[in-house]
Amino acid sequence: MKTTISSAKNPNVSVRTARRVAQSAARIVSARNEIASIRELVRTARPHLAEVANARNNAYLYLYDSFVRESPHKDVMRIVEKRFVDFGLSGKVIRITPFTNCRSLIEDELRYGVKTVVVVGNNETVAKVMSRAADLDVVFGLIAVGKKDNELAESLGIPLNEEACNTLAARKIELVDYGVINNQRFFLTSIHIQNARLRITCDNTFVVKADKENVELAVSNLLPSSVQGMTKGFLHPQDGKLEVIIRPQVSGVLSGLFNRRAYSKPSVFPFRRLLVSAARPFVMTADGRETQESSVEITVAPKKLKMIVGKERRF
Amino acid sequence: MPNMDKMGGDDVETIVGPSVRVEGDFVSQGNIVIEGQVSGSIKTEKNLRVEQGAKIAANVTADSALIAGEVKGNIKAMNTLELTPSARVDGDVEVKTLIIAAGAALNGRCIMGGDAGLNGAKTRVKSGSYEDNNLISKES
Repeated sequence: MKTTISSAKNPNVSVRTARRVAQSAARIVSARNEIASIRELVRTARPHLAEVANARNNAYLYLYDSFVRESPHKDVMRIVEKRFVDFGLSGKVIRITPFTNCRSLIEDELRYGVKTVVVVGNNETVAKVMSRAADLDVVFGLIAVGKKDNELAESLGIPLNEEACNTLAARKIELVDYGVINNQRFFLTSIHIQNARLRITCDNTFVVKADKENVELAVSNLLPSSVQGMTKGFLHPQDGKLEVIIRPQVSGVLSGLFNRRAYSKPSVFPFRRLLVSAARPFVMTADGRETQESSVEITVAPKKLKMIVGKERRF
Repeated sequence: MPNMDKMGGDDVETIVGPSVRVEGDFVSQGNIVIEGQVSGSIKTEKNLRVEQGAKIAANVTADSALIAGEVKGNIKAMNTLELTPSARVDGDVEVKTLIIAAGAALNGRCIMGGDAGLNGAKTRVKSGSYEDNNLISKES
């Protein structure tokens, strides 16, 4: 109304106003265009931004065994997690259960930029993860929690509990061998077969036969053999071979009297491929996990596993 | 001569125990200690030690060998072959240096030359029952 009155009095006023309105409209249009172009930029850059963010934040994936959250280890884990932050080793934490498919889990995380998988637990946890995922192209680390069942950490020179964070931060990577069972699953430490009548073929070139019926067989890689008297030496996880230790059982009067198994002196053979078969199924323990087998092919994947190790490692 | 006594612990790569038999071509890049039975062939780039009571029916190739058991087959040692008093070898031997202790039995030809003997071959027989019928010692 006011404008009408003023324009009626002064025609120049209406022209100026019209100009201003036109200029404002033009500004609004250009601003809208700018907003649209910015939106387009954000839309195209978003996946790349996510990648960068993932690479920065999720370079580490921590696989926690369920026991590490329980009472005796709570305090240790609190310190460990604080050190992860202090050392800039933060990453995604996943708690694994006996039903977790570690392979598919790690494969999924590799897509989001995970470079290092840290197993937080003990020997059993490592076996659980490695039995399916040892062949994945990723660096593996270990935080050994507790004092029991951590011989593997000792072998790799990784201190127990919170001290392991220093080794993880130092990030000394060694390539080590791992074993492959029937081209299906993997083992890091050892295999043990107790008292079975076995047929053993090494590298397709020679057959090992025992005079006695039953033999104890152990294959060692990252841990010394459980065979008595063979706990020292024979730990060569970087030589591209595994060692099989065969100990025939001796039947004697004393062993019968005291209900103790007696064995003759063990034999040791390095190999790249070992075939073990028997007429009857036998129990095989690989990395602490028992299975029933009748024929097993054990091969070596030489220096294929990237492992973070400490200075005090045994190889 | 490499010290065979030091072939223990971490130095030993392969051990054939006393109640074990190995059949086939036995090839190794490391030291071998045999206390059981082997038939076929044995080849190693390092040292071989055949303990007393061990029985070998195979041709043997090694850098150096110390024999205290029985060997039926030819032995080729790039450096030293030592036969202890309990050793019995039925086969030809080709070595650079041969040491035979009293009581050892060697039934076969002995060639000391080739690549191994270029720098001067030598044979040392300690004493006692030396059964070699056709010992040939030559420098080439």
